[in-house]
Amino acid sequence: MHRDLTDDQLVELVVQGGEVRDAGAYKELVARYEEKVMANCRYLSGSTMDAEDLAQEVFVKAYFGLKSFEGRSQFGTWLRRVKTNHCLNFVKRRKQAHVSVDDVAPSASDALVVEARGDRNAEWGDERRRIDAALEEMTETLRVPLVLRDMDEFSYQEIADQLGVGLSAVKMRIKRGREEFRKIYEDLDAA
Amino acid sequence: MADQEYTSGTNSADDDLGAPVAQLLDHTVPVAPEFRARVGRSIERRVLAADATLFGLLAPLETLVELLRAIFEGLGLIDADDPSSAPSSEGDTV
Repeated sequence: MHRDLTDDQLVELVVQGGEVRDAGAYKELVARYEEKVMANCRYLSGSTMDAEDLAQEVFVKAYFGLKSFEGRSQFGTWLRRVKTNHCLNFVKRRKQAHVSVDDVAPSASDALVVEARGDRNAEWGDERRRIDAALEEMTETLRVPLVLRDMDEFSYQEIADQLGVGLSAVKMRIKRGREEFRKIYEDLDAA
Repeated sequence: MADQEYTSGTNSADDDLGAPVAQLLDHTVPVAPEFRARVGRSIERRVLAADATLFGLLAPLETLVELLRAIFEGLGLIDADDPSSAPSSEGDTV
């Protein structure tokens, strides 16, 4: 039944009389957006291990935030903002909590990331795998603006505001990000 | 550096920045089969925690109100049959 409803209708069911109610309707919303949210969480955080926790937190936050969702934009657009803010805040907190390089064994943490990536990629097609591999090889400085622009379709000014950098810096990073992604992607194809 | 060439850009002025990476627009990452159930459980836990907190705050208050009501009723300051009656402030005798 819920599958035939639009996002707006589902939101209406979930938030009735100002209270958050219909859990089944919300499950349908989660089903529609979970893979997209997961992609963003993965590539904005740069962490496969944290991506699922972040995605889960995004949907929980969205559920309780629906009371204040006024319907001025589409649910997907609103969710996109919730997701982006949550992931970027996570990245910011992680940077602030960064420990000394001497305290971390880079080889051990890299090995964990590679292992997780291998398990996940076993389920994908070639195309998805290449896109994933290309994005994961990029630096955060170039990957994040690229994802915000070409995956989420935020405007340049919105990206600049979210990242706290100037407009020209954002555009330059996106330009370089696109070039780098294409180079890595083509190299993977040739490999 | 090359700041000046970007100052007049609009969302449609992608030409100078290279074409958008089309593959990214619809790119998704599959989730674990139990993901939706985990989201549901997180929501339920939060609702339960909120309800328990509210109960923890309200229960002592309601207990205090009932205790005061019993005292005032015992002193005859309020009518036991009228729950909305307030204690008299004029010092009426019983």
